[in-house]
Amino acid sequence: MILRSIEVSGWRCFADSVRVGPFGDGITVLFGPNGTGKSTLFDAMARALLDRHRVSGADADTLRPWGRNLAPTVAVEFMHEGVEYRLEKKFLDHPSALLRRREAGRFVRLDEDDAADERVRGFLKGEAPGKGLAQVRHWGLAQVLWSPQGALDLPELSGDLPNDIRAMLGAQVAGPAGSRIEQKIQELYRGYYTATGKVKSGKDAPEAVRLEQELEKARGTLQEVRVRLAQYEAMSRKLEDLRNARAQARRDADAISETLANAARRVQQYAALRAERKEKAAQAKAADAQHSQIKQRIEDIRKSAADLAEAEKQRAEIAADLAAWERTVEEAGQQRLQSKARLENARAGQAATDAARREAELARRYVESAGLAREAGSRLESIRGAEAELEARRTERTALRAPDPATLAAVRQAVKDRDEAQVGLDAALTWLEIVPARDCELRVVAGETPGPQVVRAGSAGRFTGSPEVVVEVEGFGRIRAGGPSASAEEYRAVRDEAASRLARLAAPFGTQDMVRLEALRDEAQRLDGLIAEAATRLETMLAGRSRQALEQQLAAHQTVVAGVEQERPLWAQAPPDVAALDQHAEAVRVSVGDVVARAELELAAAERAHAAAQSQCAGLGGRLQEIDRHVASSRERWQSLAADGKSDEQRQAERNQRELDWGAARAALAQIDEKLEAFPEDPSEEHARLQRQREAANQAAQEALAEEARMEGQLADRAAEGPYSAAAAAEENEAALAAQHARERLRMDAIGLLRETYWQAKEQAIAGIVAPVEAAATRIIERIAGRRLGPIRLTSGFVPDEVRPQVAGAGVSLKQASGGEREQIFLAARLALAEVIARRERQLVVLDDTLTATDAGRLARVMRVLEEAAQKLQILILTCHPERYRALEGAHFINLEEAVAS
Amino acid sequence: MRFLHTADWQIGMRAAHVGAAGGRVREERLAAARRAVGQARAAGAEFILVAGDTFEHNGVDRALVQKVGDILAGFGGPVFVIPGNHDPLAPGSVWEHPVWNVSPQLRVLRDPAQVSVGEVDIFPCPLTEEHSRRDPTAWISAAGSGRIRLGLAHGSLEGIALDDLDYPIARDAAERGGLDYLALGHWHSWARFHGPDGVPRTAYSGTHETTRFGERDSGYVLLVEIVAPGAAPVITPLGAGGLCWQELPRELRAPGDLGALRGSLEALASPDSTLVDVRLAGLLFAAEQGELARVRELIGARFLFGRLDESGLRPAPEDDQWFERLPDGVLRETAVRLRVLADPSYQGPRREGATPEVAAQALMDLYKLAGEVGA
Repeated sequence: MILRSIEVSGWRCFADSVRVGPFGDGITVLFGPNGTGKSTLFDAMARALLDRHRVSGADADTLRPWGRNLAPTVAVEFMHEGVEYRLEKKFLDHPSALLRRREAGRFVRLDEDDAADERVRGFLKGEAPGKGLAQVRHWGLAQVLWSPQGALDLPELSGDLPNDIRAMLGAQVAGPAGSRIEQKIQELYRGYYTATGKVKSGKDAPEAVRLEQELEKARGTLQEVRVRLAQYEAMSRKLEDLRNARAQARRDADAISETLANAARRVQQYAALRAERKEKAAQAKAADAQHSQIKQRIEDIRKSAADLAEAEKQRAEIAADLAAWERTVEEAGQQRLQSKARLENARAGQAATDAARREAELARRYVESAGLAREAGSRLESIRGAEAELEARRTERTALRAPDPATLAAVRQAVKDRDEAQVGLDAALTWLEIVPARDCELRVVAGETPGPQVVRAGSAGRFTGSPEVVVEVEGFGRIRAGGPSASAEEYRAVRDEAASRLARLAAPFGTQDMVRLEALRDEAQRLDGLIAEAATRLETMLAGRSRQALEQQLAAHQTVVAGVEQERPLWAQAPPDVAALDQHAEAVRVSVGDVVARAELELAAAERAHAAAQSQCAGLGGRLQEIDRHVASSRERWQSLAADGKSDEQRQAERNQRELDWGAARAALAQIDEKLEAFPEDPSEEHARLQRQREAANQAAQEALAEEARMEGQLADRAAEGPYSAAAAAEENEAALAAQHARERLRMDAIGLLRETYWQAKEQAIAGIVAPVEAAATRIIERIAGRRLGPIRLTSGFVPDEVRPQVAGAGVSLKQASGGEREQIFLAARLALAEVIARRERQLVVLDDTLTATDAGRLARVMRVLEEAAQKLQILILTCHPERYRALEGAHFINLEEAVAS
Repeated sequence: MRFLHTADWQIGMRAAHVGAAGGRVREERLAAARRAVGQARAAGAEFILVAGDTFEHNGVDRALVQKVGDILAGFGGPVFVIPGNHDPLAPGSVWEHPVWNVSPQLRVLRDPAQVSVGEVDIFPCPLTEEHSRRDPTAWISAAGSGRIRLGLAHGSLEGIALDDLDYPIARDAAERGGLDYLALGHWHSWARFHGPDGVPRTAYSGTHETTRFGERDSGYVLLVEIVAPGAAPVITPLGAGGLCWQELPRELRAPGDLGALRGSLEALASPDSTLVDVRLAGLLFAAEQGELARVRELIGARFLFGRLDESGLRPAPEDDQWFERLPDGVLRETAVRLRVLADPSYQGPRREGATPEVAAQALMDLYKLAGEVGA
C-alpha cells in the first residue's frame, strides 16, 4: 500500500478541512514547526485505515478539536496492489465509513461501514481492536512499516504478523505444490489433533481415541474374568486339598480307633490286676497281723514273767538295806546329843574374851580423843591470830583515800583537756605589746583586761584580746590590733570545763597534783596486797571449815575424855597402854575361840550324819512301797497273758504257722506287682486321651466334609460360569481391539509425526529466511555506522535482539548501544523487513520525527540508504527540521504550515 | 479290530491371535469333532480312543462340555476318554459334568486300571494335574494276556520336544508295557514312532483341527487297525480339520510382486474358512500404492481372518520419482527426515512415539499425498 493523500477536518488541531497530498511514490518530507499537526495527520491516516469507524469512549473523544463539537473526519486516498482507493471515515457523531475504488477514472463506492473497515484493515493484515482506539499491536504490517513519533524501536511484533511474515517467506519456500501438500497434511492432522497439538476428544475424537476407551474397558473386563478364572482354579486346588485333608482325617480317626481299642483292653487288664492286688494285699496284711499278734503275745508273756522275778528280787534287797539304815539313824541321834552338850560347855568361856576387848577399846578411844582435843585447841589459836591481822590491814586501807585507776585516768584526761584548751586559747588571742619611752597611761578599750592600764617606760606592756585588742593611749590615740580569727571563747569554755572536771575528780583526794595522786594510788595497792595475803592465810587455816565448827569439834573431844576419865580416873594421871590392853584381849579371845569352834564342828557333823541316815531310811521306805506295787502289777499282767490256756510250746507252734501263711501271701502280692510293672501309668488316662483324640479327628473329618461340600457347591457354581471361556472371549475381544487400536494409533501417530516433521522442516527453512533479513539489516547498519557494531541478530519474531561487534566476541544487548546507534539499528531492521514485505508491492514507510539522536555525519549516510530504499518503498518523513533532509535526492517536501494556511 | 485314535480337541480354546475370528475358530473345533466321529462310524471303527486334552481347560463353558459329550455319545459305540494335562481329573473339572454318565458307551477312564472291550484290553493313563514329571505309562506291566493290548496316554514322548518336560513318556513305553499300540495325545502334529522291530506301535494323532498358524501336520485323526495281538498296527491318518491356516510371507523386490501376491490370495479356495497371515517386507514402489491398497482390502474383507503386516515395507530407494516430484525444500526435507527415522538401525535422537514403524507409516502417508497432488 502507498499513500496518495490525506484530508482531515474536525480532528484535534485541524478544526477546518485540510488536505495534504498528493504524495509521490518516493520520499516525501512533510515538515512544519511543532504543533502544526504533522503527527496528528499521521494519526488520522492510521485511524482511518485501522480503526473501526464506530469507535467510542474517552480516548476517541480526544480526537475532536479542543473546545469544538465537531465530528472527526478523515479521507485517505491510497493504492493497494495496483488499485486506487479512497476511504472516507467519520467518527463519533453519526460515524460512517465508505470505501471507494477508482474505476474508469473515478472513485466508485465499494464498501461502507464495517465492510469498509474490514477490507482496508485486511490490506494491512491488521487486527480489529476490541474496544477503544487501535493500538500499535493492532496495526499488522504497519507495526514494521510505520514508526510513530519518536518510537523507531520495534516492539515485539504481535498478532499474526510474525506468522504472516513467516507465511510469506514460507510460501516462497514451499511453492504451490508444497502448499497443497501442506494443506492436505493439515487437513489430515486436524482430523486427529486440535490446533494446540492435543489429540481431539469428545464427539470429534478420532477412532483411535474411541478404540482406546473401548480397549481400556475390554482390559478391565479381561482382568475381571481372569480373576474369576484364577478363583476357579484356586477353588479347585482348595477342594482337592480339602478332600486330601478329609481323607487324612479319616485315616487319623481310624488309626486312633485302633489304638483306642488296644487301650481299652489294657484298661481292663489293669483294672483286674489292681483288684487282685488289692485282695492279695488284704490277705497278706491279715496274715501279717495274725503272725504279729501271736509273736507279740509270746514276747509279752516272756517279758511279764521276767519283770515279776526282777521286782521280787529288788524288793528283798531294799528291805535289807532299810533295816540297816534304821539302825544307823538311832546311833547318829545319840552322837548328835553328845556333841551338842560339848558345845554348850565351850561357849561358857566367851564372856572373859568380850571384857578384855571392851577395855582395850575404851583405852584406845580415850587416848585418841585426848590427842585430838589438843590439836584442835592449837589450831583455833592460830586462826584467831590471823583474823586479827586481817582486820588490822583492812582498817588501815579504809583510812587511806586514794583514787582508783579509772578515776586516775579521768583526772589525767581532764588535765590534758585543760592544758590543750589553754594552748589553743593562747593562740587564739590577739596581743599587743607596747614598750613606751616613758611611763604611759592607757586604757584598754577592748581586750582581756579592759580598763585603764599603765605601762612603764622601757617595759613591755602586753595586752591580749579577741577578736581584737584596742588600747587608747592618752595623747597618742587608739591602737587597734587584730589577729587570728580562731574563737578564743570556744577554747576558753573547753579549758574551763576541763578545769572544773579536774577539780571535781580530784576533790576527794585533796590535791590535783598528779604525782601525789599516783603515790596515793601506789599505797592503796600495797595495802590491798597485804589484805589479800592475810585473807589467804586465814582461809588456809580454816581448810574450808568455820571457826565455830572447829570449836564444836574440840568440845566433843573434850567431852569424851572427860567421860572416860570419870569411868577410869587413874587414866587422867597416867594414860592407859592401849597396845598392852589389845594384846591381852587377843590372847583371851584365842584361847576361848578354839574350844568353841571345835565343839561347833563336831555338833554339825553329828547333825549331818543323823539327817543323812534319816533320809536314807525314808527313801528306802518309799522304794519298798513302790516295788511292792510293781510286783503286784507284774504278777497280775503275767497271770492275764497266760490265761489262754495254752502252753508256751503250743504258742510257738502257732507262731510258726502264722509266719508261713504271711510269707505265702507276700509272694502272691509280688507276682501281681510284677505284672503291674508293665503299666507305667494308669492306661485309663491314655484311653481317655485317645477317646478325645478320636472325637477331635471325627470332628475334623466332619468339618472337612462340610467345608468340602460347601466348596464343591461354590466350585460347581463357578465352573458353571465357564470362567475359561469367558476369559478366552474377553481376551480375544481385547486382542482384536488392541490390533484395531494399534492400526488406528499408528495412523494417527504417523500423521502427527508427518505434520511435526514437516513443520520442523518448515520452521527451519523460515529460520533460514531470517538470516537474509539479518544480513540486509547488517548491511544497512554497516553503511550507516561502519563495521563497528557487527552483525545484527533478530529474534524469531523479527525484532532486533543484539549486535555482535567483533571486539566483543559475543552478542551485545541493544540496551548497551548509544541512543543514536540504537535508533539506527532499528531503522536498519525496519527497512530490511519492509523490503521483504514490499517484495510483491511497494509499501508506505512512515518515519515520524525519528533519527533525532543521529549525528549529521551518519544522517547523511542514512539519506543515501533512504534514497535506495525509496526504489521499493514509499517513504514519508515527518519532521520539524526539514533542513536535515534537504540532501535527499528526489525527495518531495511539503510545508504543512502552508498547506494548512491554504 | 479297528478303532479311531484322536486327541487334543482343545475345545473352548482361546484364539486371541485371530481376534474377532476366535469364536468361529472355536466353533470349527466342535465341527471337526463331529467330522471325526462321523469318520469313525464310516470307517467301521469299533471304538474311539480320545487321548487327553479334549478340552482346553476345565473352566470352559459347561455348554461346550454337554456338546462334546453329545458328539462322542453320538458315535453309538464305546468311546474311551482320558483326562489330559489341560483338563486333568481335578475337583470342579469338566469330568464332573453329568453328560459323562448318560451313556454307558461313553466312558471317562478315571483310574490307571485295565479295562476291556471285546478282544481288547485298554490300559488308560489319566492325568490328575496340569504339570508333573512322572511317566503316566509307568504302571503298565508287560504281562501277556493273549489279547490286543492298547495304551491310552497323554504326555511328551522322550525326544519329541526338549522344552516340554511335563509327563515324559519313555520312548519304549509300548514295548516295555507289552502294548500293541500306544495311543498318545499332547503333541498337535500327527506322528508315529517305530519300535526296535521297525513296527510303529506308538503314535500321536495330533489335534483334529489346527490351532494356529505354522502348526504342521495337524487337522487329522488316526484310524488304526490291528488284526491280532502282536500284529503291526496299520495307521491311517484321516483329515478332520475344516480351517485353512495360510501363512504368506512375501519379500517385495520388484514392481508386480504385490500383484502376484494378490493373485495368490484371490486363488485361495474357501476363503470363509481360511485364515491368512501376510507379512510384507522389502520395497514399495510408487506405482504399487494402489496394488497395496487392494491387497489390504482383500485381506481385510475376503477371509475368515486376515492379518497384514506392512511394517517391513520401505519406499524403494531407487524409486526416486516421487522424491523428485516433491518440491525442493520443506517437503523433500520432511521425506528425508522420515526416511531416516523409519530406518530401525538409526541411532540418532527420536521424539517420543517416533518409532520406525510410525515413521515408515508417516513416510508412506507423505508418499500417498504427494501422489494425490501430483507432486
